[in-house]
Amino acid sequence: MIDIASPQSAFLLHSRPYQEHKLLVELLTEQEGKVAAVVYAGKTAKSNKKPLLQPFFPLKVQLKGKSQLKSLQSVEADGRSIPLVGSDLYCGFYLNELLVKLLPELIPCPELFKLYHQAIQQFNLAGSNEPALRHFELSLLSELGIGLNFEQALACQSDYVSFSFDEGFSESLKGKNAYLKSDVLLLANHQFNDQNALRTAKLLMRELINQLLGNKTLNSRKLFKKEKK
Amino acid sequence: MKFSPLVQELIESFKCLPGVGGKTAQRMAFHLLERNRQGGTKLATTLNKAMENIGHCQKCRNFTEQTLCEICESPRRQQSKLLCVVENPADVIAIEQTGEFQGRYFILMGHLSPIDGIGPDDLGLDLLENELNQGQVKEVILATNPTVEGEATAHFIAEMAHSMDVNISRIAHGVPVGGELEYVDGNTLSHALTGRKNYQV
Repeated sequence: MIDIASPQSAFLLHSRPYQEHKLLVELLTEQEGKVAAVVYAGKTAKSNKKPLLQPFFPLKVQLKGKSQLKSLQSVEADGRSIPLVGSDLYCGFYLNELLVKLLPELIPCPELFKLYHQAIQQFNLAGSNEPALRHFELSLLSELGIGLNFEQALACQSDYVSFSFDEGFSESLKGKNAYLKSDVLLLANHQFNDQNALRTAKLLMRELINQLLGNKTLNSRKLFKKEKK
Repeated sequence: MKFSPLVQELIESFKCLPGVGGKTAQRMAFHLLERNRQGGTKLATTLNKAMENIGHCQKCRNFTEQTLCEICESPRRQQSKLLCVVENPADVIAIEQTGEFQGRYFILMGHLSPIDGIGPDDLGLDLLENELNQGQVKEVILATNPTVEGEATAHFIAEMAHSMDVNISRIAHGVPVGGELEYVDGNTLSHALTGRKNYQV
């Protein structure tokens, strides 16, 4: 039996060349989560799929196959591409890199897909990208099973709290980063209006993500560093 | 049955070429051994010489066995004060074949791609920055590929060059010659529309 799923929305996270005319792509799909797939990219002008297979371009895809590595049966545009430039684009790369490096394959996460779509649309609008980034990071963490238990933070006596994977929030410990409790509690409600709270959220997220990544590094961060210089 | 060690090694060596697997490698090895020994010897000596001597041009990073490539050495091209930034040596050949461009090149040997671990330092951008700082260049033409990564690279270079006294331009996007609008993808078409030019009569 040939198993062809119905078309579903997807975004391309990353692609690399494979054999002569094929691409190995990683997609974030609405129904199946992150999927790796092989696609014949075409060699003639008319069959060329490379213009479609770009990041930040809403796609409708059909996947085939039962193994981990699917084959991409059809791919079509689903709406307009989201034109990101400059630091917005770097933010987009950052999201893609997070997903490629942290999200396990083939675990459905429709909520995260929606958030991803919203986040890159947000980048495209004027204004700071940080709230959208933090919002996405928090959701990614809870998708990965790392729910932050903010009640623990609330229960702490002092003004500063620390976080560890084993214990969750606790009174600020020596040798661990300390975060202002009131800022952390704002994070609980996904409130990012305050600059200081945003900063705290950024530092907390960075600590968590670095620990999750282990010895891998996020290369997209380098782009931001250069830009500020 | 197994081949003798040297034959086996020859076959294995051919496999390092892109798109060549076991069977093709075997065919290549047998062809050289049986039908074209002379060609094989020539390939071996050239390959050896090339691997030892070819490096990168110190100015534009193109492949060359000299310190400076032919294009960088030409005084005529120096005078035009144009610098075209491309991703690959193959892009240089493509532009050269048009005969339109008389300036110099800078070859990045790739594009920014954080997921693959290619950052600004891997593209020789410090070399490009030096080049621009010397003030020999009036205009930088960003001719990276029209992919998302190519755009990111172009933007990164544009930001770098922004503070310097140079014009920055990007190659136009649009519909290919001899193409049909019907078959052009929507992305390209919208680029073509937003980047439309006044009709000069």
